[in-house]
Amino acid sequence: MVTYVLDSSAVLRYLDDEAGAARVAEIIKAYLSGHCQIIISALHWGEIAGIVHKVHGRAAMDLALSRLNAFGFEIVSVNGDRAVRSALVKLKKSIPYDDCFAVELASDVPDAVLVTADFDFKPAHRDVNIEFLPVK
Amino acid sequence: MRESLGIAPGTRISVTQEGTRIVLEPVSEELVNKTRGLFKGKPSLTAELKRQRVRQSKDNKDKW
Repeated sequence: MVTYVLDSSAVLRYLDDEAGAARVAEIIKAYLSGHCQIIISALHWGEIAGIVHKVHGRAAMDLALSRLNAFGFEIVSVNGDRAVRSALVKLKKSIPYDDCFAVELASDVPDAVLVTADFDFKPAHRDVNIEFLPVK
Repeated sequence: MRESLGIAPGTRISVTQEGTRIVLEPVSEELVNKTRGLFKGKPSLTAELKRQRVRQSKDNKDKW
């Protein structure tokens, strides 16, 4: 079964209904039907929360997180080992450190596909399966 | 009420707050569609993410 790793940009595109939102919605529906798994790094989960709060305020953040939580995605904790492996990804691929946590997660799970709208991930496309959402 | 809302044993429930009300909704494809574009037409979240990444990139350039 495919495991989709959603990064911050994919989830934010979905919440904004911007390019790629339809694809993210399709993946979430497939997940609810039991056809795939969805995981999100805790680091990206926090980033989603922080950005929604910064742009729209606390109530909006609570609403967005409640909705997303209800879908039941697995939020994968960041620990020391993951942080170090992410640092190694950064050193090797020159990808922003935050993004490295999604790459590390995707490389740690069999049959994982990293879904993102962020082309900073390009240097990692030979190491993990990446599905880039369409540009705006 | 359960039948009309499509709630069966095991159906996940979304719990949100709307003002002074607590709203319970079954998790369904309809809720996925409703959550898509929750902030549509408002200041862009992805634009803010991009701004933050650019700032972080500048800040981190000389660090490692």
